[in-house]
Amino acid sequence: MEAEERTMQLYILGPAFGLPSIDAECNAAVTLLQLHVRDKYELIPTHEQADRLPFLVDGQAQISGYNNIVRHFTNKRISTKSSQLSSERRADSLALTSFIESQAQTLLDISLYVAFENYRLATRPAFSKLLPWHANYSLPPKRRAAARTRTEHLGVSSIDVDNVHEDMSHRPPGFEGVGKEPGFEAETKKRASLLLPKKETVMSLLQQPQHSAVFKLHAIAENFFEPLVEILGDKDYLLGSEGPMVVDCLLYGYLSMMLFPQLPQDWLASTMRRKYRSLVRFTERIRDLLALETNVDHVLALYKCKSRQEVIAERQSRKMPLPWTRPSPSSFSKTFAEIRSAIWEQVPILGTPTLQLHNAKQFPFLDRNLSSISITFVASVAAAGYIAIRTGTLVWPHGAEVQIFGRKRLSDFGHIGEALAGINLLGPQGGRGG
Amino acid sequence: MPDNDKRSDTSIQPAAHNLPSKTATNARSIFALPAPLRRIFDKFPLITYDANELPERAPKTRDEHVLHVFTTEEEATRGRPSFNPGCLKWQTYLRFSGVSFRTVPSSNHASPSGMLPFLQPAVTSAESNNALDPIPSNKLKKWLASQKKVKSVDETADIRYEAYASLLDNRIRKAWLYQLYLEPRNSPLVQRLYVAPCSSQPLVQKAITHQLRSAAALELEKSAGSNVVSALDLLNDAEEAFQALADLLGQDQWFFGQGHPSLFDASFFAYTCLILDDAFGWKHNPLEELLSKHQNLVDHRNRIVEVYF
Repeated sequence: MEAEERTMQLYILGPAFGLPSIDAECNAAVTLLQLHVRDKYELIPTHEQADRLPFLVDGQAQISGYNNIVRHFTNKRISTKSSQLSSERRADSLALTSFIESQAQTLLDISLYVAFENYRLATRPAFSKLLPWHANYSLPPKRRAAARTRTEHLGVSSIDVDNVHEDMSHRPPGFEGVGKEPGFEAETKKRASLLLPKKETVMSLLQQPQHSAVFKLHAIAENFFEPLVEILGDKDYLLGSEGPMVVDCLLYGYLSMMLFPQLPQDWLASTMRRKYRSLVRFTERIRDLLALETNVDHVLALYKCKSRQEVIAERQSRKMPLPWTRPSPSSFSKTFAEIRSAIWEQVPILGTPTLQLHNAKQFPFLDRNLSSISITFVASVAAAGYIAIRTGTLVWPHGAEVQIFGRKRLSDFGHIGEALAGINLLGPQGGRGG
Repeated sequence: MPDNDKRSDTSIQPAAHNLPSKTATNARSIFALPAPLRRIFDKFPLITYDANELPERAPKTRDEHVLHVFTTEEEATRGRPSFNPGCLKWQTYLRFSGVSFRTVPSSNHASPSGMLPFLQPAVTSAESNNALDPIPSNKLKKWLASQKKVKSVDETADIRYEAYASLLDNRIRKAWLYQLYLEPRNSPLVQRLYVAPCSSQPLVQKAITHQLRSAAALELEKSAGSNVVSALDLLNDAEEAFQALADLLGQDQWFFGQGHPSLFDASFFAYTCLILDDAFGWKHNPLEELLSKHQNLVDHRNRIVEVYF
């Protein structure tokens, strides 16, 4: 039982594409744990976003994010290898970590989420296998939207067929540079050129949107792969160490997501296989060393197990190399809360999630929620006014209910008119009487 | 019928012959000015005014390169560093390359690319008086290379350059964004530097503050991939970045063991200069604490201040 308590629990997004997780950072975390605390941890697939995934529970400590897990391991002396490095190597490792985090994510975003064919035929089906039904409507679109905002400035949107309706937005011409349909002028030019013999120059071929996007993609990929290949050189691992280090785990997490998924548009994997063989070898080396290959169906079979013993038996019978367990069963109220928050996030302005900065001093409440407060205020004043008028509490200023035109007699003017008319009538009557 | 047509044709013809001469005389009589008006217009124009003076702020001399940056009027005249890291990077880089230029305070709206800094090249007297096209920051390096009189600043060919540059562009930049824009204690600073020069209207100021803040928040959200970000993580990441850069610099004068400062030094200095500036007006400055642990980075910053500013 002592050993039982010592096990760590790693919560990750579930498996896909033959990899432990559909998220690169989670993959890196699995690699790291497999390297340092093999057989002393458990993998729990989850989809909750309350804490950033990967999320590690080690006794009392709860750590989220790959970098924090690395820091935790260094502090607890679980991984002592990096402290043996020279300070220069350590600096290189940190710099490479930052480089991989920033550049590789862009490539994955484009390849798995922005490229519509890949998203529709690979990423989305992979998600629907491992998510509960309600999360399927919120999580994948959310990740895709995030990927699109991250890659917006690159102008590679022409590989995204799904954004046709977005072209109606009033962007200044030339905003995206490439990938946009040329407008009216190009159309007329084409008509005019029908009169002339057709000639495809190299320049005109290169300027076609689908081609220029491809060039851009290759440039982005090159910016990422070239420095890595140069640093890797003939070595087995990035820092020239005997075994993989922390930074190798991170790189594996991202490279495996680029290399192994079977995608309809696999320009990224084919570029890697064609031009960057050493990186492919690196990825395969780590996968085989740490036995990271995952059969998605086997993991999904564990979801059906009733008890812990059953999970372990199932795991052994299928000879699964990674310590998978079933996800914690979700209660009805939890599901309901997730659906509710997913719907609330769709409400414009009020529900749009804003940045939550933890461990920091917050701005005054009024400052933080200025837009929602002002909108709530305006909306409630409008609603109150409408209800008041509707129920008759407040009366819209208006004239007499019946307007009579051509008033001639005094008696037409209400009570006073009648009284006056009475006086007036009295006179002649009195006169007549007198 | 043909006969009829013929006749009508012949009947019209003489009239058509008469028409031009008739309208010509008519036109003269309609459009000719009446005599009294013509007398006034004969004296026209009565006075010829001189061309308007250029506005007071318009550049008087165009024989000097002008770098448009975020700065204040008086700091610009003294050539002090800009208070925006993006601008300060290029200001420092131009100083390294030995180009003589002056800085003027400007705003994003003035820039053709929508972003500061940009450089307005000098016009030599030989050329026409028309101003040359301004050069945005991403083309500055190319422009410098094309200048003949400028000594070129060689960049290192170190294979790790990209990796270390990403430390600056990601970790330190994110920590900077958090510290300046998303830390309430520093909001008077943002107010003074970026908001107050734009407008004196409290409502407009409120809106600008909100825009700045949400732009910074969006940047953090984008890179984190979620809307939950821990400030502690940002600072830890920055601390590691400083550590790595301190190890990289070691006892050298400049990064990557070069004999002279390069663009990398300029981009790192852009942050350290402002973080370690006591007169900047920080109310809450965790980055200073992290940075001052590394004496060689502090020395690097002071060296540039002494030599180039």
